[in-house]
Amino acid sequence: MGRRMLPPGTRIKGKWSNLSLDVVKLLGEGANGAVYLVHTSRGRAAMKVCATAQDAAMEWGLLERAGKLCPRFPTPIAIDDGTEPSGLYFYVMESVPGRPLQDVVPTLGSADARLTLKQALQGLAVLHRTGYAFCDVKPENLLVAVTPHLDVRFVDVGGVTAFGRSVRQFTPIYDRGFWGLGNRQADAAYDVAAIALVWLFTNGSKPPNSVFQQSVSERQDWLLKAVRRHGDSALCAWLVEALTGQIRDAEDALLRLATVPVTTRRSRSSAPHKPAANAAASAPVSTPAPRRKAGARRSAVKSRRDWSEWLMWLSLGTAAVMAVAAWGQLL
Amino acid sequence: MADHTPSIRQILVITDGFSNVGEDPVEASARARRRGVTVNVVGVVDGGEMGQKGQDEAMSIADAGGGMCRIVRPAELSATAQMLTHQTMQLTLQQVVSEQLQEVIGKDTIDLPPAQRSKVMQVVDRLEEAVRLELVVCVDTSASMKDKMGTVREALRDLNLSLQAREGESEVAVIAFPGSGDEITRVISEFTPELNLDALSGMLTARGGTPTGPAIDAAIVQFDAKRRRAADEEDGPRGSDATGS
Repeated sequence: MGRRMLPPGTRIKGKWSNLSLDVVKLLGEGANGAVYLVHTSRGRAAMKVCATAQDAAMEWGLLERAGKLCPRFPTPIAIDDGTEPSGLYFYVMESVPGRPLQDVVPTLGSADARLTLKQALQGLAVLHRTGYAFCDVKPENLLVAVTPHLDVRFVDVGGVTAFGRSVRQFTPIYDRGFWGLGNRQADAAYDVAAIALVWLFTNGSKPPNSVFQQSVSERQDWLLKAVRRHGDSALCAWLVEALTGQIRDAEDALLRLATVPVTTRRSRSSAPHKPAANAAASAPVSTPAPRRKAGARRSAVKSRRDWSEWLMWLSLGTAAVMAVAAWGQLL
Repeated sequence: MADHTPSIRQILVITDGFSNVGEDPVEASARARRRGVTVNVVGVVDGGEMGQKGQDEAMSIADAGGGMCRIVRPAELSATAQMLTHQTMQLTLQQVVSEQLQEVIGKDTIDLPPAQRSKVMQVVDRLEEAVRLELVVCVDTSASMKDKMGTVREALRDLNLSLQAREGESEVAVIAFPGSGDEITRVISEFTPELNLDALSGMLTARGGTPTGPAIDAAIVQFDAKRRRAADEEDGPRGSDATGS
């Protein structure tokens, strides 16, 4: 809507506090507003500008809660209205270092990539203990800093929802409901499924636009193939468990992940040139379409068999976990 | 608030063109609004076939109906339908809460310090989860929609999923325009607590123009019939149960 850009150097004065800040640059724009890097008297910070005072107030409430409960979210600093550019509704928070997960993970070695997944799950586990789910889990909302040490942070609190309430902010391809793998009520397993989808699409290809017109069983067909194609084959069973809701929460996901060996040879990161890896991740959106069309006709018959495959993967996974758990008890 | 369940009433129009049959959709939309029904419009464009005329009309319908309008590609339809429903519910409730605040403390939400606004918004958020929603989806089934019907059906299934997740009750009806044969519009599904997905498979493209205005009027008829049924059943306390203004 009629949102205006704030050019670098713009000075903003708060109406309710003595806040004064200078815009350094635009960091990103989303459906709910724009985030700027700003300079305050206490150093650098991030400022989110919302379309309305109500939107800013709503997100601030979530940030205050989430930031307190889970340190992977940005620390809230202040909320105010701008007087100098008037009618500006914003809040200020810690500026979170790092780049979006989908840009960083393809450049990491397998051990670091796994650590990224682990840290994301640890962050979710902390949040889940408080009875809230992140919900809008997507690579853009998971920032990964590589220096001084690997650190995963969460941004965008807009989706944070109490368990049992309906999920209102989500991205379809990372939503279990879209894939027919569960409802759209916030719970810990919702986030776990979303993380699994993020991982699947970051290390493989994103679903093509054609999945949006497919039926649920055709979508599941596609997803199952994506799991099978996934570079890190040791992780397949874990992914299936996460997607089908067999993993109850992030804690459980971490426990089961600990039993999955880190595969040393990763198909994607072995390629020395990063840009090619990125291109490979986005290109299949259009290319494999003809092949899939032929498959879609058969899928009515095939989907049943594919479900049994899901089940097979699943039981394999649980069997392995139970065996490991038994060993754990013995030792 | 009111002693019986307040409801939010909305119409969601999904179209890819502009109306060319029957009364003016903008006037129909204004009629809906006068009855406390908000009208949202999603324009679905695949290439550029909706044109400026269609987009302008979509905007005007939403304006007249107190709702929002988005023009999107088919892949975005599902997320957009869900988001529009959510955002307009929130807007309606913000108005309700703001009016209450005016009455009680003589201040609007925006006059409060931001930290207190945040508390007001938590109330709005809780209301949105708990309030009753009545939604009529009007689907353009003119010939140009043929390739998009699969996407529309999936979007409705998806919208249903979001509504079912809420604590509050939801009832959804679906109207196709044009209907089949001589019908200008056709009720695909009357108000049901859970959208009848099988009925949606009977929603096919048909010959004829794009009667957007008559479709909005048909949606109003659905709301009126529902209101009458509710009044017959209850026949008790007076006063409107509409939350919207």
